[in-house]
Amino acid sequence: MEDATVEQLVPAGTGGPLAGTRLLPVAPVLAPLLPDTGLRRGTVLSVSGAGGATSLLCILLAQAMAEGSWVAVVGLPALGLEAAARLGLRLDHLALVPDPDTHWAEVVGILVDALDVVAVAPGRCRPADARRLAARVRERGSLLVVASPAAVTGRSAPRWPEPVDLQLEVGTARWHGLDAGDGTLQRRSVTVQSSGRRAAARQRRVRLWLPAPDGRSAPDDQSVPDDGSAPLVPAAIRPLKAG
Amino acid sequence: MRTLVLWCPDWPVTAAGFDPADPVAVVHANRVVSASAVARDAGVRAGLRKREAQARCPGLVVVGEDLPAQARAFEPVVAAVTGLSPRVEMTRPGLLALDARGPARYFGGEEALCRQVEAVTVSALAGDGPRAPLPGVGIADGRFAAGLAARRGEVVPPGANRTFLSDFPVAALGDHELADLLARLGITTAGAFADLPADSVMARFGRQAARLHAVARGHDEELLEAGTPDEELAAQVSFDPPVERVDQAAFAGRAVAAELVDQLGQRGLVCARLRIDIETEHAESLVRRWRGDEGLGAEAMVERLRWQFGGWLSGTSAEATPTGGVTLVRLVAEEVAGAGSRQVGFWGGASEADRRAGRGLDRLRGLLGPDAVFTGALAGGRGPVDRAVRVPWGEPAPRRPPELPWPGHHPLPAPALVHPAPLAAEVVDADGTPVTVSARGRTSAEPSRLSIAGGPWSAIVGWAGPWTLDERWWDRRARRRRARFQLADRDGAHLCVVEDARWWVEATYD
Repeated sequence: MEDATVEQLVPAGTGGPLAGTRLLPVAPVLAPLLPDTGLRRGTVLSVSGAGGATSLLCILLAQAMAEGSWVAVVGLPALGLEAAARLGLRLDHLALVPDPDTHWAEVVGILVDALDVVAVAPGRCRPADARRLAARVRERGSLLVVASPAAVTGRSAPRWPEPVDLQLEVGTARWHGLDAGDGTLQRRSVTVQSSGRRAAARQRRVRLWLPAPDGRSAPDDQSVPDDGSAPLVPAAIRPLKAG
Repeated sequence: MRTLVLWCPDWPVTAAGFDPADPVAVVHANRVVSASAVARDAGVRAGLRKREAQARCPGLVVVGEDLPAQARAFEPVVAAVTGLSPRVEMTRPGLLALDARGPARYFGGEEALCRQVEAVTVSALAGDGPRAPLPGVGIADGRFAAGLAARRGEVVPPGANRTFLSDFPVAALGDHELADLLARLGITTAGAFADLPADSVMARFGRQAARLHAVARGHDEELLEAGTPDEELAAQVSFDPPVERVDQAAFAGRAVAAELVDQLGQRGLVCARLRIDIETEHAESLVRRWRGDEGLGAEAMVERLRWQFGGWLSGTSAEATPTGGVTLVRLVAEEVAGAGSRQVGFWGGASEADRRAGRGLDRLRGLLGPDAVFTGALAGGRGPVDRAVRVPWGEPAPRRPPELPWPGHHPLPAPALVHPAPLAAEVVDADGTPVTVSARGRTSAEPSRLSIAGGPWSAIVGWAGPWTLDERWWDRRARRRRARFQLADRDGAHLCVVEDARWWVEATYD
């Protein structure tokens, strides 16, 4: 209602509750993986692993979404929306650009400016673009997540050309609930390892159910009595390496 | 609808207690929000950083923004204008609007009404306070045009909105990013923008720009979106014992506001105009109307309750200060608008994060076209592809309710990767023979190895199924018989489907 030469009132409380905070909230089950109590704004993360990377991506972002952040996903046409919703993502605050075509760099740039979190598939990005994006992300205080879903067709995903600030990788993943011709997939026990630069350089590991039987994630403290369903690969479970 | 708007220029400066002759800037979050006339002459503009403003105007006095104080200081003006017409609504401190039709008839014409409002405002602002700049009063068809008319002190004849708006810059419509974009295309005035064809604007720039385009063409902004609800949408809280302090009333007000927003949300509505009634134990009451164009969220409603109650208590109102404690707070949604793709969070209207995201997505839509940017919505369905859908950005969500029973839907958990096109696969038993499923739903042999899209063979370590699906069995041509399996190998688990002895991987449990 104002014209350009007249005062432009900036509404109080601009940006909602998360504006101006240095950290984005993260689900408690993943907190032991991070050097801070949340995800640092202005950094680049990567999420990868042989099985479970997409689900890990979802629970990584769920808490921030619940508190009002918008998330964009670029170049991941296979993202399962029902699974994402059950793992905690708000579909109405999710922006999807499954095929950015030749405008990849421009699209991601616009999204980094407008939204708190942008998840991208690696591969379309040249090193110069990656460096520019990292700088823009740092300036804007957004979060860039490079997500490498499981390579179902056997071709491994291309890598992000620059080093990232925090790397989350799914180590082992064991489904429970399937038998020979019987039962159904119920829950999956997963170990996630974090490493990275600077404050995140120390390697950390956490074990969780992803998903738990209700479709969400849950901590796996192994003191919960097993319901008798055997893990699918009955090899001896290797003990966790310290540190 | 003929609307009168009263605009008190540089209200934040006046409310902070300064003269227009003092070089003052009001600052919020390190950015200038408002500046006095002298500061503006020196080059201080809204949006500048504090340092920059101080550089342009040495000797600048910088004051922090205090919205509650601005609202309290505006109360006498509101009360005075309410004396002329009961239906006054405030957008923000310094800016109010009212329906001009009745009062214009009463005072003998619109010009006469304008002069009345001006006189009443000036006398309310006079007193031992600072000298305030002269208010601007304007009348036009609709709040937006009337607001611009108030800056010029004009009465725009009925139906002449488009001509009146045509030589304003595009930025006057309120969207600076759009104005930048249009400037690069050579469109600098609202009139040139209005001359563009409407469907091109919608397709190229998105819904928000289409709304502004309609406004530039002179269509009453209110008629576009808001209306009175069919039933009364209100929530209230009574206090026993009565409360005397603003923060006590605000604390209880949060629950009331959340309840009202919830009622509206269930009907898919947001509140465009809110009426707040405050009553005391001595039967005094203060009723004010607040306008929120983007929809008022619960926090915004509570904020306005604070302003209203605070203004009443502090005695700046022409109505006597209340003599008793407050016994009733009532919030009524007098005008509502469809929620559409706007999100009203608890934290003030559609939050700034929502608006920023919406603008970014509109830009993307303009860049990539309407079929490239989506949000998501849950829908009903049987298979993983159907159970959640991508909704093109700016369109309403589809209407397949997910809560209805969908017999034959595949069991939880939902797979995290749903392949846009199913991947061809081969599944063989221990002898290397392809596994099939009979018409009765019996598997020919135990699946032993799996190869996806011609990739390497992997051993199957667990499997379950078949979940048979027989769709449209009554229609011989449209009949589809499929069976779903969950197959797991060392690397992961997949949701596979076999139809006519051919196997496909529909989804992967990543």
